[in-house]
Amino acid sequence: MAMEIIKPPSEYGDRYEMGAMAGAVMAASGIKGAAAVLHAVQGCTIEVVHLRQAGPVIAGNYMPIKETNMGPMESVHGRNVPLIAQMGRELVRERAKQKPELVFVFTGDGPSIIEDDIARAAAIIAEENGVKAIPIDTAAFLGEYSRGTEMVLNAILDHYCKGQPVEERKGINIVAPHLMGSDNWPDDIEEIKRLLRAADVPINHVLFQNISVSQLPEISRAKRNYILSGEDLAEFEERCEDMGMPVWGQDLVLPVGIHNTEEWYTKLAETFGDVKKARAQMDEDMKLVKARTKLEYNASWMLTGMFGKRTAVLGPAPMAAAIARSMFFDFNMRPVVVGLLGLSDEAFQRAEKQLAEMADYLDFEVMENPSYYAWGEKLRKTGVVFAVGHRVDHHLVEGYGIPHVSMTGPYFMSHWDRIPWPYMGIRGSLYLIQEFWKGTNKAIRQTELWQMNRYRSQDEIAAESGNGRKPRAKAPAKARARKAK
Amino acid sequence: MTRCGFGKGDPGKTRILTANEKKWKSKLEGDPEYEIIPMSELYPTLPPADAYDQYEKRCGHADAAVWCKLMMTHEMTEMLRDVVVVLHGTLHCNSCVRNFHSDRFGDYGHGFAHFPTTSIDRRQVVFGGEKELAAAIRAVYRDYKPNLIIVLPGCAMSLVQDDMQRVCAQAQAELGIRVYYFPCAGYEDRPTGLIIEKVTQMWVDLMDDPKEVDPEAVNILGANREVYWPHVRGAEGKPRPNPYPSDAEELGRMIESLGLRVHRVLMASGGDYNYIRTAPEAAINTVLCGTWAFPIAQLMEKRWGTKLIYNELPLGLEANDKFMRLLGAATGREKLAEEVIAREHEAIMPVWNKTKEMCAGKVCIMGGMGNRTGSYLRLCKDLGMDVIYIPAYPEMGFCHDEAIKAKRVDWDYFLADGFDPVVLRLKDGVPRDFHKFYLPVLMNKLGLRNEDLVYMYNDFSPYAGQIEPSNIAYVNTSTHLRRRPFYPSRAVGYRGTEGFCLDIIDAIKAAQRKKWPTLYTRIYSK
Repeated sequence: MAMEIIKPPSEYGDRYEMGAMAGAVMAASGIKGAAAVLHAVQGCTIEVVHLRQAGPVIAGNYMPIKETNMGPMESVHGRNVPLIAQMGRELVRERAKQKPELVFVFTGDGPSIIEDDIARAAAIIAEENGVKAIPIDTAAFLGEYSRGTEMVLNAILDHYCKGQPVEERKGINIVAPHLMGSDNWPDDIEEIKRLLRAADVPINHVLFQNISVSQLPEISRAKRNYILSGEDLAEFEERCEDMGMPVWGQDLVLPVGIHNTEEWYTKLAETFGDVKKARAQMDEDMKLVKARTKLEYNASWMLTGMFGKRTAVLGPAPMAAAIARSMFFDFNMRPVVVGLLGLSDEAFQRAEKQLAEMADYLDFEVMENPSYYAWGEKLRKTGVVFAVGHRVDHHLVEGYGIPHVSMTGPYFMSHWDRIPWPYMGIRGSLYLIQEFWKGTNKAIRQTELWQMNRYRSQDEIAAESGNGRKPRAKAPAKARARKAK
Repeated sequence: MTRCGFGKGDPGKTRILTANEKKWKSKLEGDPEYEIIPMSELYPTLPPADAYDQYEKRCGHADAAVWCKLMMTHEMTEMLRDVVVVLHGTLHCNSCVRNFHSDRFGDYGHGFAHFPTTSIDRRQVVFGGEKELAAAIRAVYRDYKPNLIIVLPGCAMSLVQDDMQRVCAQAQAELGIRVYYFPCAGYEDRPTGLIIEKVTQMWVDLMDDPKEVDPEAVNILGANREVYWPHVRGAEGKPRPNPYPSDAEELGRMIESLGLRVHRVLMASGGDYNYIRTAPEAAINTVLCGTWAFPIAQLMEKRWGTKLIYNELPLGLEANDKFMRLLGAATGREKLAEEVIAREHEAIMPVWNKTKEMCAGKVCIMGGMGNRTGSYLRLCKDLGMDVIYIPAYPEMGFCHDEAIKAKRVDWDYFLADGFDPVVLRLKDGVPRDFHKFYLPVLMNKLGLRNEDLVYMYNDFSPYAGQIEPSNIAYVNTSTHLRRRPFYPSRAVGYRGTEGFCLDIIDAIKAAQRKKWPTLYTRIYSK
């Protein structure tokens, strides 16, 4: 039994990885009272604005944004300080009833290269509107989604926490829920918070979710920062160390499914809370799972129908690893291909260490940052019953005739789920049953053949024998004669 | 002159306002912000779409967050199946393209687009990334074995001026397949219509000189994002697997009813590189969406003399009849065209007449850019409604004063064809604000009641709690969300017109309810 690791080509990449501006906006969107001016071209801003109005809204906040949508004039001539300041003014004017307290200025690639003076623009916004304004260069060539998140984390520590007196350390900060890699992160973070509270693990703040600008200085009073991303956020970590609240827990598996939750919850409770209470909570939650499944014929059908199914998972490293482990340990499935998406060696190493626990019992391949083509071809050649992935690889995978279930990646467009229930925790296993069964069932039900083999009347058969298309009208005699010539 | 169909518009003639239009004009008399003016009067006063400074002065800074030039260019390439597009840029650009243009565009039936990217970082921004691009092209050829590689730039590598043209030329010589570079960085242009007009050049560049021209072969141009089922790989002999014919298929049905052959449907998904390069072998170009089609048709006309049937997105009886007559005249099938028209009229008339009856005295106010908005408004006019064009997409949250000129190919057509709607706009000097185009605001201004209006929305309606389907007829005009079995979604052709009329009838009936509001309204109402 073995785990084989496949490295990506070094010359190119083709995967879903939004840039720093997207990560920065996602982080800032969790701060109530924050707003942002995006100084970038329209393609960048339209995507980032859509990201902002998806997951963060479900998580509790809608951050106002104004964009400069710079065109050729602004990109070539630069000198866009007045334009950025104007957007800041409009942003504050439009929100007169609930004036923003903190305005970020984020940039895309163009303004970064032409070196627009965003510091001066932010100073003008601050002075004119009586708000705090923080400029951050979030060009995509400076870093990706997690780097943008880190830039905002750093800026908040620098502007609000440095030099704050800490009389008593209170609980842990939970950092970057949108970096977990779950497309259900707004509900997952709620479940994580519920479980931690139940085990007496005190939570200082979630960075960032439902935190007001006035609460930002409280961040520095935490004991630890539990980072939910597999990536190393080196500069943030350094700052946290300096403030006496080191980072913690990046090696910990995410609580997807029963086995992972037991491991995760026990570790957290041992370190910060009460293990007995954690166990009691797990027992309590398991009662609900049992009530929805035990002696219920359909559930037995689903749970055993999934056994042995060969599957694939593609997603940000921590989430993909956790889902694959749950598939194997909880559902007796065979996650034979796992695609890990990440930026740093550490992210891959952490996820692969977690996956290695399956290696004694299952042969499987791990692809680091596979291109979409490599991923699709691997699934085709390996043969999998269904694949879990992002929304954006849905039609890649189904284009190979393989059912697809979207569970990883950011919460974004086409996330149709309206039911507030997590993937994570013991209770989340009910959701997993449903999603994994969707994939399994789709493979079992051969809908394409139904279409081909449904009943047809004599008339229909006759119509179809003419290629399914009405016979072409005859061309006039003149044209036919010309063609014949 | 190889174009057919220059219309009946007379630029020297003053537009006479209808009774309703006069009433609205008088209501806005003295209004400090709004004015109502026929398009034929406004249009000549508008600066070119890329006169950014002049628009800044006239109506303030552009507020449009729409797809950038890279995304629009990539959209065109998605419909070719044996082509790989290499992006010289960041993974961020790649992912932005994926969010809409790869994921949601799958709704039209395209295969997944592969988009290997050089994934540049600050090193390439400082030192240049030509070597990395060359290596990526080689690796892509090794791994994907495509018939054509197209190279597109992101903003960063365009701004630092990597010589991508040269890298592509070298790669082409080395690999023995075409490696085509098209400059399309996001910052290069802003208004969508202007972007489209420029990027359509790419398709003509990919075409070869024809060996032979078939006089009975007809191309359909501007079938943006669609699938033309008869040309889909493996479709031969099989019926469409779902009951949603594309608009191109409806136009194809009409073309074939004259005994002509549909040669190429561009840019409908269903073709390989060879499919597009042989497009000039058709004698005639027809138009589905003018924004995408007219620039291609004009270039093909210039290069190969391909005859253009000058007709925009045919919605409604008048536009479809005109299309059939022009095509009939261009191919010596005038009599047959009249027979087909009579047959189609017979089929559609019961629904058409009923819709006219139900729409009598109603008004349609529609925002948008050019082709589809103009075509829907023209259809409404054809149905006897009064129509108002607004230069904004309040649904999407932006104004687009530049869009009229950016979609000049469409508005040139409509005006030349005698379709001249009134425009309700903010006066020069009033800074643009899409909130000012919210329908309830405009209805108040014009004194319109709920029952006066047919509301045509696109992706979604922002008026929950204010404009409610149980009060006002709600008709979806989105190409990807509108699905009425057996009818094409853009309402093209006679069948499309019939399907759209049926939607209008259903919506007007539902709006007579006047009670039990929808959940959408309940969510947003206080």
